[in-house]
Amino acid sequence: MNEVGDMPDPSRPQPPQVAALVDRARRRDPAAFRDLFHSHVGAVHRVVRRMVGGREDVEDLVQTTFVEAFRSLPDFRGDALFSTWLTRIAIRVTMRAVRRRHPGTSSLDEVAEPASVTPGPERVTSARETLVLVEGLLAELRPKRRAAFVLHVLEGYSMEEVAAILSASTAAVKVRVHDARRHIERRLKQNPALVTTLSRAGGQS
Amino acid sequence: MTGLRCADVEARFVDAFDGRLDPAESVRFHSHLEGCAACRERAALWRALTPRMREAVPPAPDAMATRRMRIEIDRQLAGGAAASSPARRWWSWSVPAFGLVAAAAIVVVWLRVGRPAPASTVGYAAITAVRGDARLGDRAPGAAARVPVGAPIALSAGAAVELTLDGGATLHVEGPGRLALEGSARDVAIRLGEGKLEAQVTHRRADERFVVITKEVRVEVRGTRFAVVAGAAGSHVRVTDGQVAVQLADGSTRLVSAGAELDSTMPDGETTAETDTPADVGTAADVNRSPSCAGIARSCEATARAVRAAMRAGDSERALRMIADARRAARPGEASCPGGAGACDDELRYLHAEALNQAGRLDDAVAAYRALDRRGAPSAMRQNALYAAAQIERRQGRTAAAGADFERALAAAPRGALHEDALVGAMESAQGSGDPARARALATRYLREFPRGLAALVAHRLVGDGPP
Repeated sequence: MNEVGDMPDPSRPQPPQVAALVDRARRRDPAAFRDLFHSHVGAVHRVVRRMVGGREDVEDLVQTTFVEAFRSLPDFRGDALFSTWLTRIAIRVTMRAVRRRHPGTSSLDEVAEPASVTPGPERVTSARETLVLVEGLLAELRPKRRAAFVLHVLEGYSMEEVAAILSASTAAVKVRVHDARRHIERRLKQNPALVTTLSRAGGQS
Repeated sequence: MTGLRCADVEARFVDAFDGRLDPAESVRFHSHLEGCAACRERAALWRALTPRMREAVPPAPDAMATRRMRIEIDRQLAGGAAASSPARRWWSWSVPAFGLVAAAAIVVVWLRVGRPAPASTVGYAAITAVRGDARLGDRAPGAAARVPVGAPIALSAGAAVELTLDGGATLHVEGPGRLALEGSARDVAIRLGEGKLEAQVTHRRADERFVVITKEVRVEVRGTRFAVVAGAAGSHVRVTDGQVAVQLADGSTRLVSAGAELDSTMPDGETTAETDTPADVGTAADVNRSPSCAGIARSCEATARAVRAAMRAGDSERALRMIADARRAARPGEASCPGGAGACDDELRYLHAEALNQAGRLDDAVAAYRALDRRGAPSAMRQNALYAAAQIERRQGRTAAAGADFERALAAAPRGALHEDALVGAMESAQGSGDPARARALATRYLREFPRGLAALVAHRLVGDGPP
């Protein structure tokens, strides 16, 4: 039992049923596609939403992720978990979308942190508003930092797995997560009530 | 034992909180914390923050959104197979027209600019249901009659036909009416001389068109649900979802949001979203029906829009409360209106089932989906509802019940968009519930209807003749 809830452990072995589904999907079994979609759409949607917030094109990005994944299925060798492989595609798709949203951005790490979109604590009274608060904090992070933070801290992937997903070095991922944490800590220090609000929201849920 | 630096300790926060540190690492981690107040403070902060941030989970996509995504994935994977014939699709997810009603859609309406559609000799539609006196050409259409391109369809008052187009769209036309289908499956042009036409159109690719042309109006859609009424009083268009760009005869363009309407008889093609026109598009005569019925329909549609918004936000309980409030507030005159609140009433009932599903009240959702079938909702909606009920039953492990619902979904719209999926579901359920004879029968039917379908291999195995 871990200390932070019931997050799945992404380092666990490939469940045999998923491996079998992937195998059948490679042979274009429609039922396998359907089951893979239904068993992973929630997780993909969660990652995409955490990466891009409540944008209107979240569904499009989820769709694109599955389309690219299913088209690339013959290339999936099974070295990684299917879910990890799918997450890698989801991140790639969302990063592309983020780049499109910021045309002319030559280096994402050179983009200044955007202005805060975090609502004041007085408005944060429910789980839904807590989600807005968290998404606001994530939106303030530069995309590469956001991806590393979402994957490692929120999705529970190890630093090495995040490095593989992002095609980056483990050292780079550590720096990005560190920077993301520092930014969030700064925001919380500027407004300590946010910590209280987050704690209260957690206690209510 | 080598000590850890502060950065190393921070990099292990998640592993430590998730219990993934090995014993030796755990000792080093906690030893560092004991001696480093700064790391201890940060560890405490993130030990508290991490679960809170993880718990702030965005709402999962609801059943409608999931189906929309499946459809779009199917289309994209089909890679240009516009007609999506089973033989050409390389996987067989469904194209449920009703599931697409909320798809982002662009509807362009030109007033008085109808252009002739390209001619073709290949039919791309079939009549799947007939009520009353209907004629295809000079004959009464038989079951599943194909509709030749350009062949006139005539309906007497009270008559209705339902058509399924090869591209996945369904049409419901009520008489008195006259229409003809022109163009092709990828370039659909429906000429509506008279009558009420309700269309549910699957999302169109950039190189595909779907046009309805009346004397006054030309409606082009990319994928949406809409209704067109053509009558002596003019033409009336209502779009349930998506956005409408209206090009008037003078060349000006008006944008109309989902839920709004356009009436060619209004000055300058005036559009209304809330108050000025009847919200429910009925027959030409219905357009002028009593204001109270129009008000009831508008109220229903406003509720449906609010319910959809709540469900998109993942707030199914709020959606259910709104539906319950709407039912409590139902006005006494509602029953006397033609069709009650019309299609919107069915839509609200469907949304109720979807909200129950989203809220995890699965048995209630199944009951609500089945009730739509019993109450005689439009066939595409009934198929969608029964298919959704079957999926719930299957996930619950109630395979026999799932099979029964899949088969009811098949019967609801024998040529509907979910036909192949429902057939596969019924086949798999029969096999799973230990009814090999039924599974074989369904597999045989599948192979007859979809000889090159994606479940053909499975069907061949069930029939016992191995891969083709």
